[in-house]
Order: sequence, then C-alpha cells, then structure tokens
Amino acid sequence: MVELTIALIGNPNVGKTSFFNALTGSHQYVANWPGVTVEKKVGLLKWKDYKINVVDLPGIYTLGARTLDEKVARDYLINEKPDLVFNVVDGTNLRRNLYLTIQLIETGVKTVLILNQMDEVKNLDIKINTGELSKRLGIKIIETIATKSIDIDEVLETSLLKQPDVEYKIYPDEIEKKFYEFQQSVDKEKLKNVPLRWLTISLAEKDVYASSILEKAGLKALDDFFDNDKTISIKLAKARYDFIDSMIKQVEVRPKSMWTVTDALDHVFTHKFLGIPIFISIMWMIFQFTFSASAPFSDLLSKGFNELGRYAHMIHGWVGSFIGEGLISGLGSVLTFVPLIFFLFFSMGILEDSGYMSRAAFLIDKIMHRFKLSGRAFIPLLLGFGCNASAIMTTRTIEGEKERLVSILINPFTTCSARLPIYAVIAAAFFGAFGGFAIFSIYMISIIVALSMAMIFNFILRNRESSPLIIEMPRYKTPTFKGLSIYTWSRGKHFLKKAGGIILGATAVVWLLSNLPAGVPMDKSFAAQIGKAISPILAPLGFDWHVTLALIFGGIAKEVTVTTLGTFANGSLGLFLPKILNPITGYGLMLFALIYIPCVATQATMKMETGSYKWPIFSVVWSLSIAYMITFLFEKIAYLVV
Amino acid sequence: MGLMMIVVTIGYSALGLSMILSKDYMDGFVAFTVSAIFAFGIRDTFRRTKSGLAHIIAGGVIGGIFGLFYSIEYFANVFDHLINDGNISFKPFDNLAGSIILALFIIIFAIYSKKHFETD
Repeated sequence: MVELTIALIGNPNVGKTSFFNALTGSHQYVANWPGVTVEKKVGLLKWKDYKINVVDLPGIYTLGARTLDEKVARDYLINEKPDLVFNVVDGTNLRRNLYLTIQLIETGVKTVLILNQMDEVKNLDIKINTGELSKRLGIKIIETIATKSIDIDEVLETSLLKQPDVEYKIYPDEIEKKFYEFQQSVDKEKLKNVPLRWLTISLAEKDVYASSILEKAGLKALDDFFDNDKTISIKLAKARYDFIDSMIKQVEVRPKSMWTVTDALDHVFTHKFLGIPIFISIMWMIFQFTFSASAPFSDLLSKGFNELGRYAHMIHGWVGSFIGEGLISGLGSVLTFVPLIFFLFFSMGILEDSGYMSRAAFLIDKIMHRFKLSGRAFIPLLLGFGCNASAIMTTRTIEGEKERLVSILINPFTTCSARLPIYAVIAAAFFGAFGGFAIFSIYMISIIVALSMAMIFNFILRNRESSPLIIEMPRYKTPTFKGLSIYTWSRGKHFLKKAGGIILGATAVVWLLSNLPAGVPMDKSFAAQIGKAISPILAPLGFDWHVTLALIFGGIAKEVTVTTLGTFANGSLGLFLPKILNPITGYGLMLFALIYIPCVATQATMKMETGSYKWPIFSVVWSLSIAYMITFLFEKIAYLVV
Repeated sequence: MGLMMIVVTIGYSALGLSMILSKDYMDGFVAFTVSAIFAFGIRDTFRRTKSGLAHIIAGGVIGGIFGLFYSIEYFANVFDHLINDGNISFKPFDNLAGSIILALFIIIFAIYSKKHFETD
C-alpha cells in the first residue's frame, strides 16, 4: 500500500470540513461562519492501493498567519510537507480565494484546486471556464458540491495525474531579480527542508516566521533585503491581485447586477437602528422555542421517572433506596432535562448554520470595542451558551494575546447548557408562567457580567487595544435537517456521556453520604454534617446545608447540583425547593450558579489554552468571590424592594 | 404596495400591543420589531427601490419565523397541559390566530411584492 498525506487548506467557510467529511466518511461539525475549525483534524481514506491520511486545517486567507488557528495551518504546510494539498475554494468568490492559491503554488507543494460550492455558482448565474483557469494556474481543478456528495474516484484520479507545466510571471522584473540574488546568496544546504521561493517572498514581506526559520538555520537576518523598502509587502500583494484580476477577466463571467437575498437581508439585519432589536428578537425566539418545545418531552420523562421511582420503593433495603433515591430521584432529576439540552443545541445549530453568527458579531462589534474586545470575541461568548470548554477553544481566532486571554477568562460567565437544569427546576418551582422570562433574564445577565468582567480584566492585564473585526459574511442558508441532527447529536451526546459517567458517580457518592451512618435520618447523615460545617459561609445568601452541598458537588459538573438536590428531595424537587428557598433566594441561587466556579472540564481547557495553572486557579477564586458578592447584593436589594 | 406595508406595520403593532397587554412582554417586543422592519421600509417601497424590497423580505423572514415559533410555543403549551392536567386548553383566537394570519399574509405579500419589483 502506498501511504499519502493530503492536506485540505483554504479560506474560512469555503466547505473544507464538508469536503473532509465527504472524503473520509467522517461526521465533523460543519457550520456557516468562519472560524469553526481551530485545530487540525485527521481522517483516513483507503482508496485502491492507497492509504491516505486526510488532514483538515483551519481556514486561512494568506500564509502570513497572525492568529493561533492560522498558525496551525501555515506551520503544518511548511513543516510537515504533505504529499498533496487540496486547496478548497469558494467558486462564488474566486478573486479573494485565489490569493491563497498563488501563495500555495509558491511553496512548491503539489496543489489541486477544489472549486467548491458549484451549486451556488450556478444559482448566481456565474460562468467559470475551469479549463482555462487550470491552464493559467498550472494546476488541476476539480468542481465539487461538497455538501451533497463528491466522486472520490474522480477527485483522486485527477489529483494524482501530472500537473500541467505552465510558467507565468506575477512579480515585476526588478523584484524577481532581487529574489534571484537572494536565492543565489544563501546556503541552500542549510535550507534544504524549506521551500526557498516561499521563504524568499515571505522574507521580503518581513514575515516573522520566515525570519525565525532563517535564524534557526544559522543564517543572518536580512535587514537590508529590498533596501528596507517599507512598501514591498503592498507591492507584492498588488502584483498578486493584478495577476488574479487579469486571469479572472479571462475565465469568469458574472451577471451585471447581483442583489441577492443575502444582500437584502443584510441591508436590514445589520441596520443601524434595527440590527440590535432584531438580534434580541432572534435570541428570544431561540431560547423560548427551546424551553417551550422541550417542556412536554421533559414532563413526559418526569412522569416516567416518578412511576419508576414508585416501583423502586417497593424494593426493600438499601438496594431500593439506592435505585429510588439515588438513581431515579437523583440522576432522573437531571435526565428529565435531556430534551431541553438537545433542543438548545438544535436552536444553536440553526443560529450557526443560517449564517447569522457573523452578523451578530458585526452588530455587537461596536459595543465590544467599549470593553476592549472585538466582535470576534462575541462568537466564543455565544458558543459558551452551549459549552464553555469548547467555546474557549474558538478564542484561537482572536489575534491579540491579551484580548484572547480576556476572552478565555470571561467565557465561564456565559451560562452553559449544563447550568440550564438548575435554572429550569428553580424557575418551575418559583416563577410559574414567568419561568421562561426568569431564565432569559439570567442569559442576559450572563452577558452583562461577562462584559463587565472584561472591563476589569482589561484593566488588570493592561490591555488597551482590541483587534479590528475582519469577518466574512457568509451567504444565508436554510439549515438542513441532516446538518442540525449531526450538530445536535455531537453536542448533546456529551451530556448523555456525562450523565452515565461523572454525574452518575457523583450522585452515587451523594446518596452514600446521605445514607451513612446506616439507620440515621438524613439530617444526621455524613452529607448533613459536611453541609452544615460549610453552610455558615453561604448562610448570608440564604442557602442551607442542602444547597451548600449541592453547589460544592456542582463544581465537578454543574448538573450535579440538580442531582444532589434531587437525591435530598426524594423525587419531588418541586415540593422540596420551596421548603429550603424562597423566590428571592431561588433567583439568588440561579445567579450564584451562573457565576461561581467553572466546571472541571472548563478549567482543564483554560489550562491547555493558556499553558498555565495560574489562570484556571485565578478564575475559580475570582468567580467564587464575584458570585458571592453579586448574589448577596441582589438579595439584600430584592428584600428591600419586594 | 406602500399601502400594504402600512397595513402590515399596523397589524404587527396591534399584535405587539395585545401581547404586551396580556403580559407577554418579550413576544410583544418581537412583534414590534417586525412592525419596525416594515415601517422603516415604507418610504422606500413607495419609491420602488431595492431597499423597500429588502425590508419586505427581512420583515417577511422574521415575521414568518415569529409566526412559526409562536405556533410551536402555543401547541407545545397545549400538549404540556394535556400531559400535566389531562385536558386541552385550546383557544385558537388567542394571539396565535393573529400571528398565523399575519405570517400567511406576509407570505402572499412577499410573492406579490416579488412580481411588483420585477416589473421595474
């Protein structure tokens, strides 16, 4: 078997991951906003006598990488040297996409152009002469619609053919002469593993990475390359665009006026006055849909667990108690919210797949700049409503180091799906018909807290600049049911895994602590003793030992707060909660659960992304203090007002 | 065409007001937002510019989603009552009817407006 490595590279949001899925049969998540893929993903494809490793790389616009995710793509290409590169290109936007194509060709790696989104090209009535484009670029071109299906035989057979031998000139003679002089002057032996043409051009563009390669090879940095011409990068970029423009004139025909539905919607959705009310309306509809549509399913599950609990209590002894109080009351209290979690991810999938995410970032950009953050930092905040741990990884698309750190630190303040069951049980117990509104208010507060924290962290870290927002506005698309199902399942299954693992384990421990020493009532159990020992700390917030212990266990995974209370409640949380809380302390508990410590998985991701234990520890201490302070103030003010 | 925009604007404002009066504040806010989308496009619709069409399409999309969302919310509540109380409390002439009628209206409106702008 011949082993090959193929890398997929291209601009963000052109369909690389769809193409990757079609090639490898994977089900990696695909969304309609730039920056979904922030790390490389590897898949295996066996075809004829070939064993092919397919590597999906984060999207980049140029090889002059600035953000972490872009560096992943550039470093892989230069250091790992794949056998073949599939440059996935959005057929509706050739001019912008071909800039990277030219840079790829300059690296000398065998490149095949995957002209994707050909269905959109047809819809927009754009005509592309792919044969002529192939001749002019000197590379093979394959037309695809990766979201539907691809002909793997055609793709691979065409790719493995010899490339057309074409010579063309992009840069002016005087620049080429300098390139030649440089290449003659360097010790090629020391740079034998580096594409020399790419290195030369990158050095001319004053690329830091290229300079570091030169220094690592023990060669002197070229300070006087191009006689310190500060405009050389612009001249090179202009030469590339001139080349692309002249080529596009020959190969592409576009209809004169192109006012699409996307343009029409953007005219209104990004409107100066209408944009923000539309954004709030969309967010409200998404959350309200989640709560309303999932309610009947949750109630059905709740009734089912109640029935099971009734049967379990017929079993005598500790087995019946464990199944009834531990498994069914405890674990069941959180499994009841499986529909809620799945509907939340389904709604978020709609938000991501429709293409609205980039517009939301654009709308919020101005507000974010007041907090020394860019609109790009808003995407991780929105994704944090699903899961903080995975949202923190998307901060890799943020350019400024300090801005990125601030984005990581504020992310746990956005309320993740794991906290939803806590809000739902409290809202159902205390706020009746206004339950949905109470939960929505927590979501709004979470954004306010996150942005306020950004101000404080910016001050502490002395971050004075926020990077400008350069984000692509993808075309609006109607989300497909298949795409939404993949998204919902890929995110929702983590909740089920957690329920069967860490939540089950924690519930068993709580049950054990509540039933030991054997034969004593619950308020004399080990759980009560531990809870009562710590509860004086939270007593000013009106939380008794049940709530205190639930919050401590909730630090492992937020859902455990509910399973712990469920175990204490013995199957009737709705009746139990009003005995230990009132509407004010209930809402206080919602606030506390929103702000206090990030879960273990989020702390681990923070450590991984910042490369230090310092920040997760800081986050735990800080969020606990802030949670205490805000909850305390809220309750005191609420008691004065109500 | 402009007159139809005025009718839809008033329709959504009335729906928003009725929702707020029945303490359904956020849904009322959404209805007012849809109304504002149409209202901002009235002048351009009289002038038959692209901006007018954009407001019809955007209002149609958000209004349509709102109608769909409100219907789902409504029927989910009906189903939830059935599960918990064993009876159906179905009142089709609540705000549900209003939002469905408006959603249907804007679909017809959007089809009509497409032809209207194509003739220019």
